[in-house]
Amino acid sequence: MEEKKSRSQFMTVMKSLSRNKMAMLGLFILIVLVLCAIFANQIAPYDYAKQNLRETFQHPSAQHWFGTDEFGRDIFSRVVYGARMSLMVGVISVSIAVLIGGLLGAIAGYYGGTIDNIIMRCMDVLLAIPQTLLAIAVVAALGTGLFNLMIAVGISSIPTYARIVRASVLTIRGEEYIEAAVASGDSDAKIIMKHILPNCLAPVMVQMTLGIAFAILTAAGMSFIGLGIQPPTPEWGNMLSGGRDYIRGYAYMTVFPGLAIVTTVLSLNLLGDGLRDALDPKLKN
Amino acid sequence: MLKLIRKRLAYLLLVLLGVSFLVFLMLYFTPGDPVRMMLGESATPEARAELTEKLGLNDPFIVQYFNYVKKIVLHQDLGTSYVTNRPVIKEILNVFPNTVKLATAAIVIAVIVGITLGIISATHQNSLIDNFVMVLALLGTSAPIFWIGILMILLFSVKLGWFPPSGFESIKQMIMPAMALGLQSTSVIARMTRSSMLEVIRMDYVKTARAKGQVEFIVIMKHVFRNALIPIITVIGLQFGSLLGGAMLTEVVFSIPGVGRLMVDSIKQRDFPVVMGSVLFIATCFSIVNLCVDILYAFVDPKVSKD
Repeated sequence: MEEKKSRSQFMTVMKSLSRNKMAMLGLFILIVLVLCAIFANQIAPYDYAKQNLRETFQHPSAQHWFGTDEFGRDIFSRVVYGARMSLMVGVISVSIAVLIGGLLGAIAGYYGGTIDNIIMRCMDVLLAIPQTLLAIAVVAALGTGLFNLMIAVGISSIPTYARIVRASVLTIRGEEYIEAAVASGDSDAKIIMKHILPNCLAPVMVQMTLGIAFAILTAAGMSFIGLGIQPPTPEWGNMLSGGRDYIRGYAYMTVFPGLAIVTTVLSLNLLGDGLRDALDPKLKN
Repeated sequence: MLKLIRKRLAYLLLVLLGVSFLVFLMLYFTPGDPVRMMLGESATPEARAELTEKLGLNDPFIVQYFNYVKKIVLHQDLGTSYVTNRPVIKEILNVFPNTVKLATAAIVIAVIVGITLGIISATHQNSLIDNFVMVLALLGTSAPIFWIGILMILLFSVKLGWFPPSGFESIKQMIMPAMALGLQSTSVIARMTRSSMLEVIRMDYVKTARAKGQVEFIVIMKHVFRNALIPIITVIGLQFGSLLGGAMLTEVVFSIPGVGRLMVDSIKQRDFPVVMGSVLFIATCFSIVNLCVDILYAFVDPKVSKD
């Protein structure tokens, strides 16, 4: 009965989302970017690391659509491979945050009392530090690199998901099917994993979409200041940083990576906004 | 009202204690030997042993943490820079005014422009102006601050020559960084103002005010805007936090000597006391701003001060 209800709710949300043109545009752009990331090897005309010192600082042309950089590397190829890096950082760091934050939020909301207090006060401590700053502090402690960047961005987002899941759990906790599960002797872990968390998915999905956008922006910012993914690995932030020194004559070196970031983040924001509207009960009336 | 302030202050102190623990934990586990960094490679073992003892680095973790908090509370001592050997607090206070100027200028621009655009959008819902403003706002939240800063330098400094590309002494030098930093906040505030006002604009008391023949401007500003203020104030308070984080990137792009740039340079030099001291300092400022926002609520919404 519960599964049937979930399936029909899902279909209603999907129907509502499909009527939102801007959300569909965002989804379309996102699918294109994901395909670019997956098939980067086939799409990129050149190896992203291949230097050609005879073709340095080439402006955009038929041969090099986005031009070349100071080492003669094709910028279009680097932007395409950069999509893989950025989407990977976004998805993995948000997944870390959802897993840890979601679990903490579920435990806090389910048990309440002292456990709830301790967990949420810990979340308040993390929230007292601006998110970007917290990510930078974690990187300072762990060191630079892709893996540490994902951990840092993930840790800084944990409180957001803890709060969202906790709020959902507090709403669901009093439902009859939860009482039935308790009465039938199911363990707390089983109730949380099987009955509670699946019903918290809706607000988490919205936040995840917006969270991936924020993670991509944060990761690009950190790479820009030299604390994230290091060159020659192509990442849009470090490409912007490299291009900055040549802005006077070769602005394309900063324009294209920046446009890639804006396009990706915009598509995620459009989709996230659409999901939020589709799930908002007030807008259904 | 006083009860509210006391409660919030006590909570603030508790949170800051937690932040100090987190910061100390990160400082404790950062790689590298602080004694070696301060004395250099040529120091004798005796000198190293003496400094290790003086800094209390042989003490258990909890004793070191307690001493760390004691120094902060009693002497406002955030430690010593490994690189300059100067007190961390002095390094921060030297550059902090620039960060405050930048963040304040950015939030002023964001509030004025954001609220104005939000009100225009809400009062012309679904019109061309509304759609244009909302698209701009969406682009504003999607564009990275550092990219906007670079594009501004390209257009206004390199091509047009209107503003200098770096520095922070004169008002002319402040305009571009403040606009770049304020753009995202402007967009967020505009969207929140629009959505908050649209919720209120449908209320019965607004219809009543119009039915009584009230001038539309008074209806919007006195009845709609005033009651839409609380979520807008929330967002402005939260934006200050993100501005402090975003100021870091803006300071790097425009070469502004602020706390953010101090942090970035310190990370590269592995000067961890300065890094972590800056984190604690900014977290404290952020928490105080949030406290002020909470108190401001009580003035705007009398129901809050009664809780």
